[in-house]
Amino acid sequence: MQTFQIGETVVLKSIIKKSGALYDPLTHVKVTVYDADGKVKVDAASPDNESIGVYSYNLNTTGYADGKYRFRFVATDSGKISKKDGAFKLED
Amino acid sequence: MFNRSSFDTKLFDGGELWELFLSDNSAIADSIKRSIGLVKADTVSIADSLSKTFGTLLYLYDTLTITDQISKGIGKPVVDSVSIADAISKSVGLSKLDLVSIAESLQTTRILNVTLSDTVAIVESIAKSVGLIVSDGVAVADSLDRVVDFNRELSDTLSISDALYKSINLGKTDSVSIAESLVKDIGLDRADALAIAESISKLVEATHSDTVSIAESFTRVVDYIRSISDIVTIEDFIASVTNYFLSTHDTVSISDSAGKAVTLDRDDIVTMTEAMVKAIGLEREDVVTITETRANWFSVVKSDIMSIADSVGKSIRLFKTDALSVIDKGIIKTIGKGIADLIAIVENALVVIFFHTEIMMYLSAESHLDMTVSTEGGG
Repeated sequence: MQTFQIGETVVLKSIIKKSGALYDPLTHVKVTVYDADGKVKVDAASPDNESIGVYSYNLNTTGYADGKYRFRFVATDSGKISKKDGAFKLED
Repeated sequence: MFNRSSFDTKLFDGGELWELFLSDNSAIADSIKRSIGLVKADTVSIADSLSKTFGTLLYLYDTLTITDQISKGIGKPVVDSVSIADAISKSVGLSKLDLVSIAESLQTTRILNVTLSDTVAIVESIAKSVGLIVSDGVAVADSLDRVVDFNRELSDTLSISDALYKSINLGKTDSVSIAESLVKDIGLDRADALAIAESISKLVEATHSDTVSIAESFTRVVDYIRSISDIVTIEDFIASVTNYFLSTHDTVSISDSAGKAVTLDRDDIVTMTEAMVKAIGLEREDVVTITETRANWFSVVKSDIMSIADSVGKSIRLFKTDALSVIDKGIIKTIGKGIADLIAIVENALVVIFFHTEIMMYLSAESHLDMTVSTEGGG
């Protein structure tokens, strides 16, 4: 778990592959960020599609409290949903 | 003249009948008969028979008639007609159904067959026939032969004749004739027609059916048939039997002998054995095995198995489907890799060693997409 300073922009990144190859889900990709209490800080935001299968979301942590944060990428591909969770830590 | 009684009839003076008729018709008559008309029903007539008939037959067919009369027939038979005559017979007509004739047999005939075929006819006559015969015709005449049949006949008719025979026909059905020869026929015949004859014959025909003719032959015929149809075998051999089957149909075998089998079976197999069995095979379908002896199995079984064994058994198998075994005695060693359900009931076993992994489950859950996440500092 990486640690960042509060106010720092944390780049949440997801690489998506299908059958071993980079792949863009046909429907959409969303990212949600939760604080340590489980409250939603970012609700189903659309990350940037940098390239095929590479998605990133620039999270501005200004005003965030210190502590652990979880984030979840959700990829929807023709009705099939894939999810992947990650975490990071903010501190003063 | 009809008698619809279901059981025996004894109407013939001087004759003896111990037959139990299960068929409909039995009639014996001594009369002159004239008939002009259009006959649509069955007719049976028997007249003036001086023969002593001793029958131990099991009749599965319909009728048997014996006559000694002059017969003239002008008509259009629509249904079966049966006649036995000792006379010159002229028949001009269009026959569409079976015709059977028997006349003046002086033989002492003893038949111990269980006949499943339809007709037997014995005739002593000169026959001229001009017509279009659509149905089976059987004629047997003046046979002095002793005929011993041990046939298991699946074909229809058998006839014996010694007649000058002229035939101008458009034959579309089977014909069988056997004349004046010593015939022993032991076999299981499935073909349609068999003819053994010693006669002068002139035939002008347009024949559509199969015919086989053998004249005055003393040939010993041994057939080794590779059968494609179903096989039912019941054996009680002592000899070692080795079978190499490539079966494409159902097989049912009941054996009581030492056997070796190397098989590549692709269909259902039901086996009941009471002997030493060694089996090496690749079985792909249902197998039901009931054994009562030593059995060694080296098999790769991919389908359902139900086995009931009462023997010393060794089994090395790769189970991929359900297996059910009921074992009642003996040393059982089973080395295998079971993937599907295994049910074993062992009663009074001396040593039982199971190396089975009875149920092996491989759990695998994969996401539709392979996702990895990471965080990076944005600066």
